[in-house]
Amino acid sequence: MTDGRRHDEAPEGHPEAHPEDLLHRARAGQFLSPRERLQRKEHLRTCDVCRLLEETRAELLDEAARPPSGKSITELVAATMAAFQAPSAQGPPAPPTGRRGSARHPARMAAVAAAVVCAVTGVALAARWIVEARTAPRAPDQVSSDQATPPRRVGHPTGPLAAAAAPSDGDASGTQPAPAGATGAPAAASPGGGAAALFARATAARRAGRVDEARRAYQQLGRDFPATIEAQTGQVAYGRWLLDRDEAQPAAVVFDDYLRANPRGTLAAEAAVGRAEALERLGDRPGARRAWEDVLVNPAAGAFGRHARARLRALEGRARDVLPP
Amino acid sequence: MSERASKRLAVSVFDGGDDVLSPPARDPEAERGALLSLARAAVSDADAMAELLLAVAPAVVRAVRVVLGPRAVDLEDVKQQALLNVMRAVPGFRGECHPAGFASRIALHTALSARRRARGERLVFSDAVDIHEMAPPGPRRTDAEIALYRRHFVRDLLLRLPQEQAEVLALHVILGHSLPEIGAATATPLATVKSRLRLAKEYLRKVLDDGDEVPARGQS
Repeated sequence: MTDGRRHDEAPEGHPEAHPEDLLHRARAGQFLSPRERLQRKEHLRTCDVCRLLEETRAELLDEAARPPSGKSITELVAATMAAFQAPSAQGPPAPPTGRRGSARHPARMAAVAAAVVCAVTGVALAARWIVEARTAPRAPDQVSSDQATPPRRVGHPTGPLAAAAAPSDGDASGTQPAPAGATGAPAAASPGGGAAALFARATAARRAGRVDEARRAYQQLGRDFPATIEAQTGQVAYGRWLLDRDEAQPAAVVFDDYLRANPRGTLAAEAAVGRAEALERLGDRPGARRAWEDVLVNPAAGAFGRHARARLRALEGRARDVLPP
Repeated sequence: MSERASKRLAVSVFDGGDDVLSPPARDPEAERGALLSLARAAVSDADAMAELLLAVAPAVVRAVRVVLGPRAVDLEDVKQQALLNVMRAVPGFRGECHPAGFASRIALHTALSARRRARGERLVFSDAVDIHEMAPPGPRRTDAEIALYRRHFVRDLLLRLPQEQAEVLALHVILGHSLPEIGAATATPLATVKSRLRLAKEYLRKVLDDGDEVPARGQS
């Protein structure tokens, strides 16, 4: 690598010397002796370069730490994982960064293997779509949209999310086993196609308070892409959202479905906590107690242990039950 | 599977999905060891990769937002591209430095490249005009305007500097990585890292001496 300028090393006793170690330790919040503090202060007083950088640094970090309007970390990671796998399954990979070893990346090889499996599935689905197309013709844009993403689609007729929210949704299409391209699918099913797009749409709708749209998007995500990380992440987010809306019954079903399908899933601990809270709100004290105990024995639930124990104590106090030691 | 990922995801999911920009307080060495193990596992394990990304994503997001600003039109794309680049680079990661530093450097590189590209394509940033299009701070400017000017000034400086110097300046001065860490992350001798930082500051000194006055906080 070249600097494009001088490539020498810093000379000893350079007149433009900055006490980098001192400045760095102060930035990192490390201990400075009174003399070091004075030295730093004096340097910042006389060196407008360092003063500008120190002051602007704080402002830049403060600005960067403000609540974002875009994707959350979870959503960003989910979308990245999906984007990383999607090009391998559907076409050429995204532009490379020139890093070594990428051609033999095991994850990529796994994605290629997945693509083969998906391709076989795609053939079967294509045959099914041909039959459907003959019986129920679709709009041209729907056809192209669906054909662009056949390998990732799993044709399970019903999903846990659809079942969970059906009672309060009032939208029959949400419970119907309609494939995305079929005539009975909800209007939002066709455009946007992939799981990542659906996940993003569901999240955006949830945040914007568009209840029906969010509900439909989450249902469709679970129904059409049940095996994706977006669907699994979305399922727990959906359950939490339902819980926040005081829809404890469907929330409990959503969490239950997640735990049944992913007992050791990445979000199993969160789902277990959500399920326990839902049962508690439903007044099912024995069920809630068992659920909180499940949280405690969940190996991934360390972060919620204190909360679970507190809830168990509260339930114990209320019901005057005796918990096993 | 992936307890740490669960806990980290829990924070995001339960807090309504907001970014977590401050790393949790824990033993740095233990965390580094765990992350290094995770990085090794991530080469062949998608769950470990997801967990690793969750761990380094806050640093990635912070680096991208520092370079682009919080309201850049392509912010989301660049954040995702930076994470993708981290994923692609993981197989080449040998544990020379903290994984967050490794990811920060890639994110910074991605963001600087995107900013340069955007500038070349005259992509409009919603929150920022080019530094040269902003009137320099004057007596009637408010502190907020001056702060905005300064942020743009430093971002502009990062674009004007050679990439290596910009990386060192941003990683060290803004993102708080130590010089030895940067040397390890960039596979560069410490003396060269110091030299790049010095050259970057010399350039800034020259810019300031040439008349681009940037007032200190509270001075208008």
